[in-house]
Amino acid sequence: MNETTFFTCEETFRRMKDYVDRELPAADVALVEMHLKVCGACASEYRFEQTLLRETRAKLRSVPTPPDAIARLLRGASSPKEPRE
Amino acid sequence: MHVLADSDFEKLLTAILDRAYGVALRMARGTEEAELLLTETIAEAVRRYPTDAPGPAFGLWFYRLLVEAFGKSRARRLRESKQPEAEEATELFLYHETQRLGMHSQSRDPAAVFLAKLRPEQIAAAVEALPDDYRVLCALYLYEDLRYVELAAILGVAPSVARSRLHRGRNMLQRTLWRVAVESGAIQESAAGNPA
Repeated sequence: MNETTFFTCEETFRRMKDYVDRELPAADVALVEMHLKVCGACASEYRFEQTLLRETRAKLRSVPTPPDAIARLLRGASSPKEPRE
Repeated sequence: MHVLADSDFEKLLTAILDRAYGVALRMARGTEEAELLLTETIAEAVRRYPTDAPGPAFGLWFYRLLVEAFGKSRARRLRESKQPEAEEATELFLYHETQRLGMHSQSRDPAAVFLAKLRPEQIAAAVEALPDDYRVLCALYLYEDLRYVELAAILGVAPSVARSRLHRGRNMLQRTLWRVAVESGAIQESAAGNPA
């Protein structure tokens, strides 16, 4: 039987971003999670990347939109003008 | 009937516009250009909505129009002559830099400690410093929780291209965030083991 039953650090590392993005196939997810349970170094890297992404998104989304911008755009959509060249 | 009289269209547009404003602002790097970009995108959406009938994929459809508008835009033409240099970075760039400065021994959550040193506007500036292709992709990815296939559909590229470009763009963003932190004094690079 040739099925992989355990990922190495390198194999886990190569899948880290896809795992953070929830883009890995289920079989790989299980193997990555098994590795993260027993490897402190890889688990630390994973926690760092996950937090970095979550906090970057939260901070970026907290940049306020100018208060009247949305209303102005919707008003403009009611009377569309020719695109400016 | 004007399409804005269609309550579904107006609801869908209103629901997406706040985040789309953020994405457009990161793409165009200025409120005037961002609003011009969105005005053109909305006008195109109004024109094409009845025939395209995007249904539940309204968000992806609208972002595809936004990316198309950006491709043709004055904002892009203005930037062409001053395209920023790509700041290449290795994987886990910030992990290793924060570790080098001793931040991992001071906190169980060094990523949060690092980002707490930066204001939201500085993070926005770091995204805006990325080259066009990476900036557009990273802005969409960071503002909206989109899958690789959805990002690929918006950009008109293969999912594998969207994935690899996104991974590279995130590495570049880590390096840019580090530079912003150092240049602003939020991080004292020379004080190894004793970060600001």
